[in-house]
Amino acid sequence: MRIIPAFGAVAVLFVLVLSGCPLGGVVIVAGTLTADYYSIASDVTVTISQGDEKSWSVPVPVAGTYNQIGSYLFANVPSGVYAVEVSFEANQGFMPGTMYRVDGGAWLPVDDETVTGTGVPYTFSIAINSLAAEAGVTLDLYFGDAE
Amino acid sequence: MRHILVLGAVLAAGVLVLAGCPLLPTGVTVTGTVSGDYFDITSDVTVTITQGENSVSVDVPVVSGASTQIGAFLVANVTAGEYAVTVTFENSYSYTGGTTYRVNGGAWTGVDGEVVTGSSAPYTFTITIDSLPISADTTLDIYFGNVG
Repeated sequence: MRIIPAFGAVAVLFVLVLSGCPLGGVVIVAGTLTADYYSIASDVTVTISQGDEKSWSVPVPVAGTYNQIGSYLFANVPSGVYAVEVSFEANQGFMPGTMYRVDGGAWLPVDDETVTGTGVPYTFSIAINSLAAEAGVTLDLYFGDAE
Repeated sequence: MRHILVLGAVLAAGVLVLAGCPLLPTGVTVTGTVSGDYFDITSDVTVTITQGENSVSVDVPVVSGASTQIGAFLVANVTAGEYAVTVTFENSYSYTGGTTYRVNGGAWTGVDGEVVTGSSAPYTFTITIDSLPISADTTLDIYFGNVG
């Protein structure tokens, strides 16, 4: 008789995995973007990805002139570890060094940042290889002061 | 044996629901923005989409530029269907600027209802859109207007 509950538990776990349901549930990933003297000329696209199949992108409009700032929120996404990509167009081609912080912690340099293009607008691409979002997480990005 | 299989299926579905996991994980995504000019919003902007008894609510933080307050949001794994939308926030002004919205980058349209309550700051704004069809990935931009 004891074998039936055990079989049921294994079956439930199997269904959860097969359904693609995250065992940890869903979470919120939110944060801000800030840049000084950057002349960002597009929305800032923030993409979070888990492997090749799960990926979400939100275009974040920025407000302000010299100090540009934006705010974003991903809701109802599966918990887990995400790769983060950020891209935008700007009217200057100099990158002063993007930093990020998680849950209000210490500012850290991003894992990769590149500028492409030979004239205005230049395209900025920024990557953070691993963002742990086992619970709700805030991710703030500061593109730096390009003055 | 058949009873055990049926019981197992029911239990699995129950666990999926209890885990907060959508039974159809291939839901659609709702992405959008909220913004206002000279609005002095003093809280997050809560966007709620409701379909019958199912409701998803997100608190969208806004940031301030020189005159614009703006925020972006994305809600993943939404079940397709027709939704009602309610937007609420607190504000230091007591009057509306005429809220408009657009779906998938289309024409700006007046919302179905906007009400301001309270007798002093902060006032509470409640804005409603009666029907938002969400059959595929959808963008919803909401502009509260310019009260400057």
